[in-house]
Amino acid sequence: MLRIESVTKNFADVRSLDRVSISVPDGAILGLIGSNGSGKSTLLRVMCGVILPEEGTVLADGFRVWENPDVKKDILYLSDEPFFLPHASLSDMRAMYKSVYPAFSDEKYAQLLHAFGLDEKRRIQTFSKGMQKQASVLLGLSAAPKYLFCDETFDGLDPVMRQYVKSVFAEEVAERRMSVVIASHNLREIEDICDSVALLHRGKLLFQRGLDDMKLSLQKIQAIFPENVGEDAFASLPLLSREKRGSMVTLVARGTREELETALSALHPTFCEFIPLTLEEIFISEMGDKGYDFAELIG
Amino acid sequence: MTLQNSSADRSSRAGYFFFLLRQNWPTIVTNAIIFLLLNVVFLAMMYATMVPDTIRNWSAEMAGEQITRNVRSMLDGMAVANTVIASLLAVLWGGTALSYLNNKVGVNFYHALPRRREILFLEEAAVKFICLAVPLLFSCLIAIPVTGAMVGKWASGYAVQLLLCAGYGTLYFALYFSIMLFAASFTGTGFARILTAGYTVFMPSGVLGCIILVLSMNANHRSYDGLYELALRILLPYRTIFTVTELDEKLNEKLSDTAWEIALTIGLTVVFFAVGLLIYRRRKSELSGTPVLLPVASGIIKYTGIFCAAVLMGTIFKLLDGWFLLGAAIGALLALMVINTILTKSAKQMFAGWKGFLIFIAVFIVFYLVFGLDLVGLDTHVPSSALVRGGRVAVDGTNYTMTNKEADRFAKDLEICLETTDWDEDDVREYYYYPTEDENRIWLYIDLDCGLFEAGYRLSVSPADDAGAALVRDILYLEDFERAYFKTDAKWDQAQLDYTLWLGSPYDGVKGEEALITGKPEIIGRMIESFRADRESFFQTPVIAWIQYDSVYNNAYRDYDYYINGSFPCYGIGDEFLDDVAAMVESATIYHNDEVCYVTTDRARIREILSSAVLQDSYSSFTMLEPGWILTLDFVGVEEGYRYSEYMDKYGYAVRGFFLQGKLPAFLQ
Repeated sequence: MLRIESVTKNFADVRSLDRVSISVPDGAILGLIGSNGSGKSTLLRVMCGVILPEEGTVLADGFRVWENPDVKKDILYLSDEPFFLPHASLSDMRAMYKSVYPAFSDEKYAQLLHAFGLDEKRRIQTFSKGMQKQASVLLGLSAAPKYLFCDETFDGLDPVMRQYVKSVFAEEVAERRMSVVIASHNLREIEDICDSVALLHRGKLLFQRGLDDMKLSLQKIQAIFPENVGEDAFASLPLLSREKRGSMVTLVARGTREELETALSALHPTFCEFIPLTLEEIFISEMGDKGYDFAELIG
Repeated sequence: MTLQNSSADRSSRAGYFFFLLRQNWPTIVTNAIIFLLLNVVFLAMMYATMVPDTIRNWSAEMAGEQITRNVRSMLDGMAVANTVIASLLAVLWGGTALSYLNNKVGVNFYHALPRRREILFLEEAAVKFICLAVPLLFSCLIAIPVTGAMVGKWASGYAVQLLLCAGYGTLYFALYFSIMLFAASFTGTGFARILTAGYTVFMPSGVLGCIILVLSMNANHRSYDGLYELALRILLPYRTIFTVTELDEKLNEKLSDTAWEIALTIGLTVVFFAVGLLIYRRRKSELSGTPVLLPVASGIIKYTGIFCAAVLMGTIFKLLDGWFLLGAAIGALLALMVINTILTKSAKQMFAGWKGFLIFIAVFIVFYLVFGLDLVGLDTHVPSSALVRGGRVAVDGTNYTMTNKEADRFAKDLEICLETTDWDEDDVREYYYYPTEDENRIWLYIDLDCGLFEAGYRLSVSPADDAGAALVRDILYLEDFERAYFKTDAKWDQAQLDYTLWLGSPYDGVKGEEALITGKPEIIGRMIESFRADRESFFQTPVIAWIQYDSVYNNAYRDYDYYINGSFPCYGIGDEFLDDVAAMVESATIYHNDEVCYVTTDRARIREILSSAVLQDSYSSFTMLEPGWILTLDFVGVEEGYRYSEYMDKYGYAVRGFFLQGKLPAFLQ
């Protein structure tokens, strides 16, 4: 379990993190979303012990992360810009990771090397940006960390690789109960892998919720109602939005499918269909409900 | 989960250290090649020159000693070469060490690693230290048997000297690498790191030197030589610079200069390293890329740089007959622009902090008016006698330490002298920089110890000036001065002393030909007595000889200037010493047009020759000499010397002489 407790960090006059508290259970994947400058990267750097916050602490399994090598050997940070030793090959970097992370798995390294199709003897500096990202993920996963923090890791990966990496993440989570925190400003990129999401805005955590919980508690319905059903008829429903195009009404409402089916049946719809909500739609609805403009929140 | 695996962690820590070592193998190999080339190959090549052809006919013992001397001299040079190379490597590697601190991506990576920051710092230092020390020591160890084999004679001193090569190289590498790490710990760009390291090394002496430069502008009487010494030798962290023992004679008695030098170098290294480590531990990762992290350091770098630039540019203007303050203002402005650009990484910020700059300019002008133009009379101010604890006085190279009582008296006398000597600025400068023989001025250097500070005065007096001459005479007749000057406690102890008699002229400042004389203390004594008798005419007589002795017990080393009145024209040997010098000569050989034409061991004939001769360096022009005639003298009991030429004796030592025009001995004509 990773716990971030009331972390505050200032850069000069700018408050980058403002009393942020988040928890990540073992074997969970947390999506950290927010617009540029919302504090995602700063939070990740605080979580992996690169930056010392002015207030608050980060605890991994109850131990403080800051300057604690015994804890940090289980934490791996994949920065948005991967770092490699000058003139190093993948093989050199493997030796380095192996010397630092005691759980480094040669087996995993070989498996991922084969899957990514990278040349381990070639200088990494000569790799394309996408290949460098792959190399970074390869090394990070081979280190077999208990906590993996990814900053815009999927940027630069092609769709096939992106899906492959996600599948490897899911595999590691399932097999080793690795916890992953993925920071991204692209909701679509992480919605199919995250268990929960946390939304940061101007250094503040707006909320952290489980994705299933959010999806189960919000429903999107497309329905056609008889002409005699006026606007007043929807007043009793916990609607977050209502949009009418021709005779088709699209509703986003809070509640379980059963609750809403019962409520809508009273209006005798001639057509009614529950359609899945994208993560982005969930956020637009949730944030709109709280008075935020979601477009501004995620840039 | 984590704390049970500490043994695994330890092994991973060691693993990372060895990984770094493996990563640096090209560096180690390169260093090994460099130092092997220098300490083995180059040295072996140079051994051939250690045995010059000219000593082939020497006795085995003499030749062996000469070779030993040459090899040791060579190894001294090697120690310097090793130190310089090691220092350069320290600067080079130190410029790139912990380079990840200069960019955010690198900091994110390294500071996320499961290693404490101090471990990262220590590992970087330890690996680079090994990269230098191992190849250096290795090459020096190989050089020991090579030296023995090449020289053909084992001398344990060679091994010690070669190990010192490795030791000094490693020591100064550690010092400069520590300074670079210290600079790296609070800077965030490569340029700022180099700048900060340069400041750390040079700025203390630079600032002090610039202050002295301003103080000296109108200093006609006060001497700042001591401060220059401090600026140029003590504050610069290099070799003799650490001989602060000179500042404290009591400490000097306990440890030798070398030991102090080493101890202080190590101490300074530890301080820079420890402070660097401390700052690195507390350094904020998010400040990577910021040129100088500590605002205080930024301020120091900025204003010390501006101050030095102002003084130097002002001085250049002054030398070119311009206005000092105008040059200083231009220098300060240029420095502000350059330093601001470096510190902010933006040329747009070149005038940042202009209010502080204006305040600095105002303070600088006041400083210049007060000290540069000496509006406060610092130059002629003599401390109150009550403040004077002791002091030193030197008269044309002689020196001794005054007692409190004498210093007190001299403080008063000095006031009188300063009042009575009526020098204007130009006079003083002319005599200081371009002393002429005719004026025959005597320079006095007087340092008064006033407890917290030492006031140094420079004073020129003339024999014609009663007050000045009286002051010098008083000094010469002081009992302490005599004891200090003649080292009377040791001078007759033949068992302890070796004497060197140098015969030469006073003009070239070189000792001329020389020979070591033993078993003749009575001659030295007579010369010294003669000198004492000549004190009254100290100012009028030219120097004709120096006597030096070395004590094997206390390392005493002393030059006596020897003055002879009314002696031979053109500084030949005085009549009263012809017998003495002739007694020291075993044989005299006279060459004419490079051919030996006369050899004698007859004392009477030698005396006759000497009475007509002028010894090498004791003449001012070849036109005074008989062309083509050369005299060489072999001295009795000569044991050591270090000049040899085509006119050497069988031991390789001789004194050369010539004959003045019209003074060729009759038997040669």
